[in-house]
Amino acid sequence: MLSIQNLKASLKDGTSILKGVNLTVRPGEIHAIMGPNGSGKSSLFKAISGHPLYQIDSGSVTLNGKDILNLDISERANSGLFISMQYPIEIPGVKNIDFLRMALDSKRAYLGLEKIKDSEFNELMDRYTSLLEMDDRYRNRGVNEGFSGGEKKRNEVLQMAILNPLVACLDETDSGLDIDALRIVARGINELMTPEKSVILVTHYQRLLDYVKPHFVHVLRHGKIVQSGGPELALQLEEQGYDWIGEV
Amino acid sequence: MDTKQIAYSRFTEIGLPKPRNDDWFFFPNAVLKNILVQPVTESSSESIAKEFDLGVETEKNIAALIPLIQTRKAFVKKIPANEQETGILKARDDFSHTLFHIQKGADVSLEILDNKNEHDFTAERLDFFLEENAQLELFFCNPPQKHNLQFRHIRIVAAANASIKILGVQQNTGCYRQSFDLFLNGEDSTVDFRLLNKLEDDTEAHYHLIIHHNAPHTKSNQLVRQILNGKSHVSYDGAVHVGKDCTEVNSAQLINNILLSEEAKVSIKPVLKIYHDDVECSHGNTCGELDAESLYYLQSRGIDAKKAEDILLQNFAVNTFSELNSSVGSKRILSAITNRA
Repeated sequence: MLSIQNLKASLKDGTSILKGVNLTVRPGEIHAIMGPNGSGKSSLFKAISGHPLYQIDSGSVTLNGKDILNLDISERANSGLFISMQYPIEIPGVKNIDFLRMALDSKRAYLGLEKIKDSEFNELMDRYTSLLEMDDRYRNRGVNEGFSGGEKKRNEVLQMAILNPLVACLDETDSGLDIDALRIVARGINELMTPEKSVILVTHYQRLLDYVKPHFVHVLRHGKIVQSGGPELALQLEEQGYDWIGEV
Repeated sequence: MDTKQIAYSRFTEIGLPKPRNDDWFFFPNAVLKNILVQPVTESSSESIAKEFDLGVETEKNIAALIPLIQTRKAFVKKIPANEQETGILKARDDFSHTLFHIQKGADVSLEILDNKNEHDFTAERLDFFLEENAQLELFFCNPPQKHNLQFRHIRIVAAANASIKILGVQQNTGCYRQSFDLFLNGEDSTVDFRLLNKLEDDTEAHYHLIIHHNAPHTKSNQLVRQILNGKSHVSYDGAVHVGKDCTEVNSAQLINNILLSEEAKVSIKPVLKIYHDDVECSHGNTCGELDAESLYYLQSRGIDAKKAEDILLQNFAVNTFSELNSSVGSKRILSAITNRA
């Protein structure tokens, strides 16, 4: 379970971004976070994952009861936190398949497991590239190198599938996707959900939520969650925008 | 006078570089006190100067003169026309002079090995004369060793359609200076110069390169990448000279630097001397740290900070050479970079 309590965070230059976020995500739950541009949605993910531009001012973040704010970025990831980036960066020259394997072996080493066997890894790759309708080109190209926006998002979901996190935070995974790609990515997310895992989606649009049904929808505004509700809240936001929601 | 005597006479004429000498501006001139050049008392047995113009009379670089003065015997080799040759070059003495005459259409690939360096000062000079359509690949990727003070001067003269490829990975410590005088004297001759410096400690590495475009349709490319740690200091003084009547010359120079410590220092001096309008010459230089977003991305996938840094540095290094066509040198260098990671 991910528990975020009264989290306050700012940029290293002192600009306050998160002003007391409370969020509890239980296993098996899908949460959607919506909110106007600049409200702190991406910053929430970056702050909890340990992005170097952010500093935690107060509050706590625990994953299955373990305080993750004392861990470095890779330890947080290996503990089961996955952040799908809004703008995945390119790392030319590092083959996607090598990167995925390195990441998986890092996690396994952290958990005290041996490196994954070739056959096991190939099986995983085959299963998930097939699920996400990704062809072999993705394996041997540099990480996100020359990928379109949609291909990068698909690659993020592939990484999520391979790394099998407890909590996946997907930052605008639907942006840049055409209708077919959206359907494929959503199918991937749904198929990867198990009763032990949770997903937090950041999105601006209802269309992703038509495919990935959230249990809870939250509105983040000015660095705080100001409204929470069920899936109907997203529909209301789509219709009425954010102006009707007051500050808390 | 023979080569030795001419070189000594020229050396005494120009003397050791003064602090205001532009070509030695970045070099820690205090270490030059270790240089002791013995007066020439006997003639050299070779008649190199008669057969090849080594440019000794007008030479301004003492690093090009000292090996000629101090060497006991030059190593001279002729590669016959249309022959293929691969081999290694290793100086036998502290001071050495090597000369290759590569005849028409010959294809030569040579690896320069470092001599085991136990002395205060060593200097070597390598001369290559390429006839029409000849190809020369020179490469070096020696395991790191310390040089107290080392000079290496490479001078190459290329005739029409000849191609020069110089590929180097340098990880030595200590103090060294490498200079290159590359003459594209024939039409359509080319040079591709790629250098990767991975420097640590208080290493002083200094490079001085001049590419002389002396004929039309000549082409040169310089790609230099440097990763500096500790208190290391590297300078790259890279000049491109395009002569009169040299139309449609194409020249590019790109230097990328990553500084891993606050005390590391890089000095770059691009020089363009162009005496014709119909040329395309570019130069660029970047300097920075490892990309923080890339490091974050890798770590956010569970890869620890040190490994993430290694991956990015490895990538930076490999990309210096990765787009090259497969050759003895490029394969050897890529393998050396990968294995030493």
